[in-house]
Amino acid sequence: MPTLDQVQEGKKVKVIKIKGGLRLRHRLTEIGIHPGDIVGIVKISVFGGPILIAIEGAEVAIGRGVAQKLEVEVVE
Amino acid sequence: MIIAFAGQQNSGKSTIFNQLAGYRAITSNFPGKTVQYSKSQVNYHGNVFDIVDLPGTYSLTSCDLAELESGIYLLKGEVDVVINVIDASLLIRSLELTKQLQELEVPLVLCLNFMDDARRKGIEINIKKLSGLLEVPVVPTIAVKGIGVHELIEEACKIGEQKKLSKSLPFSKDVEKVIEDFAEKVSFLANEWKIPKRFLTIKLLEGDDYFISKIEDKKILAEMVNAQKILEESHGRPSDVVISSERHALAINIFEEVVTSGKPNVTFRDKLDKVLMHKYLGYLFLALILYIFFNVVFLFGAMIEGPMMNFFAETVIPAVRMHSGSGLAPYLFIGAIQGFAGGIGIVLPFIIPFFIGLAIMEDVGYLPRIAFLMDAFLHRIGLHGKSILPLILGYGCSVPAVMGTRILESDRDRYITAVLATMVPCAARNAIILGLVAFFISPTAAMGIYILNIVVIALSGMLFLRIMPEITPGLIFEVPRYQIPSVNIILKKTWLRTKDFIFVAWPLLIGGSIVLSLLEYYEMDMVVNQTLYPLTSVLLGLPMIVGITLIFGILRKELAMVMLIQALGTSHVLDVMSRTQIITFVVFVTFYVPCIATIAVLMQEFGKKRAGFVLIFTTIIATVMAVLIRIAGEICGY
Repeated sequence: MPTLDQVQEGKKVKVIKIKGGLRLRHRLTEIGIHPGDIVGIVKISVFGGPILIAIEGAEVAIGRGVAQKLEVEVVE
Repeated sequence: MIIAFAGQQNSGKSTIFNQLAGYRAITSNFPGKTVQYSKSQVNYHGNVFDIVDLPGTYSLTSCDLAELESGIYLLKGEVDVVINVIDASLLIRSLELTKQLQELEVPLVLCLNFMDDARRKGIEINIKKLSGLLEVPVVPTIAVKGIGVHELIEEACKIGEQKKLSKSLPFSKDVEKVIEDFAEKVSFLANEWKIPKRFLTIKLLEGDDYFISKIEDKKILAEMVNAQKILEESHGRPSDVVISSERHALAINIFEEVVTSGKPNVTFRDKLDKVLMHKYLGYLFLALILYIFFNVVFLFGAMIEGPMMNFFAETVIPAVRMHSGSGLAPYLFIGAIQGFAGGIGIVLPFIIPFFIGLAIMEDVGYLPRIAFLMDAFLHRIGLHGKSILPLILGYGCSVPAVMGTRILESDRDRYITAVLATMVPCAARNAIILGLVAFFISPTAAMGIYILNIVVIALSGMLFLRIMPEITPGLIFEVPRYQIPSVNIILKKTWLRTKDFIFVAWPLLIGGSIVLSLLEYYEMDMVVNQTLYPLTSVLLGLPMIVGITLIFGILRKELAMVMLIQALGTSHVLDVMSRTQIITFVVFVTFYVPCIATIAVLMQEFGKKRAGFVLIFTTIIATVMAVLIRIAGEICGY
């Protein structure tokens, strides 16, 4: 299964699993990212910078390290 | 009556708070700003009450110190009513915090802010229905325009007087069953700690560090692990995810009941990111915006600085000298006046426009975008994108640069950024680089010093990355919508930040100036020069008389140059110092310990020990760099 950092810009993905500890899970869920949610990849910054995702009308930037811990499924 | 405000970051909570409070609270459009909560007494249409602004939180977990604090404060029971401010355009995520507040069983009023943005997004909310489902009064507002704030306060006062407790909505049946069973086992603890039973149960099932650490009974902990396991096995997810998914599902259900979605209205604001956040153009605009920003700041600062300093040097000081007789008194007076003049003439004219600009970028929502664009670069030297602002600010003055690190979330990031920011040449050091190197040697040589400085800062950053590896789970931050800022709030914010300089750094600047005058009066310079001889002459190969100027440089950086010329007895520096000596001197002065005002701010922000480390670290760097320059210069016979 791909992780979020492997998905192209403009795609929509479904979050399958958060492969991280309690802290990471808390921080992602409180900002609105839960397993099962549909997330849009808005922008992937150049030079290995963060990824901008859209979730329920909000935009959230997440670092590549965090993105590697999000198992996703491309839906569109 | 005490009214507390709770809400997620960027919900507009502090905007409402500020409209009620005096010049005390601070609002921000950037995550992780309100570290301490502010309290203010308000007289609103004849009603006197206290308002408390809780740290901007997304949820009430113990992973985050600020969030933990908010939760504990609310549990103490001092608060009569909690106003939960939420962003109407982000209803689902916001309601998850509302659910957690309901679990606390405190009197609650929901403030549905940003109603205009929600409408623009095509979101129509049935407020009556929402209020009915949550069993909590709901008041729609547009805080920036002050719409609905009066109704909100009236409603809060009503609920506060009635002491009507809110209650949490039930989760799905199987989860409720686990909660019920486990709640029986912890009910005595909940009674003992005077907190709601259901709340404690849920927190323990979520694996909340704070509450778990308070439990000594091993049997209860074993029961807890057991209950967690039941949830984990039946749902195939960690128990904390099960609970948060339950809240999420409740929020989605409510959203679907109360919201009718229409067509979003695409406005200029939505299109702005097409260029400002563009892969490549974004950097061009960033450079342009920062260029304009810093030019305006420096132009404005210089416009005030020149005439102001002239006024003190030509009018005030001669007048004082005339009227203060002889002996020690004129020295003390003049020292104090010079310190005062430095604050009003050199620092304030630069930091006030800077803080105004910073507040505008913050409230418009550009700051998180800078962080997004710059993160890739700063990550390499162990920092985050947000660190770029304090670093650039360092070129103006190190004091606000160190204070500006507050925009960073983790303590480690703040400290490293602060250390690196103090190494950036401030206005006074710029004056020395330009006044000595560019003037006596060449502008190219001056540029060389700037480049050397950037290289050393980057290398230091990499060194810190090695010594203090990142422990945070990584970068996660919200990039909020663009907002039109309120002038009132920008001014309040600017004042709040300027206040720190006025009351912390400025008195020290004045004190330092007086000390300098005393040194001068008692002719202590020879003693100082002798003491510093091993460093200045033996190690760096500089004339012994520069010793005193280094001490002056700590007290007030720009004085290092003024005093150098005074100590040498000539402004034709090249007659008495070689090119290598000039560059060595300037490099040393650029890197060595920050000025006394900066040291004071470092101590205030990070404590004595870590401020002390900055002094040692910068002195070592300065010495090593200056020795290297000396060796290189002497080999080349320059």
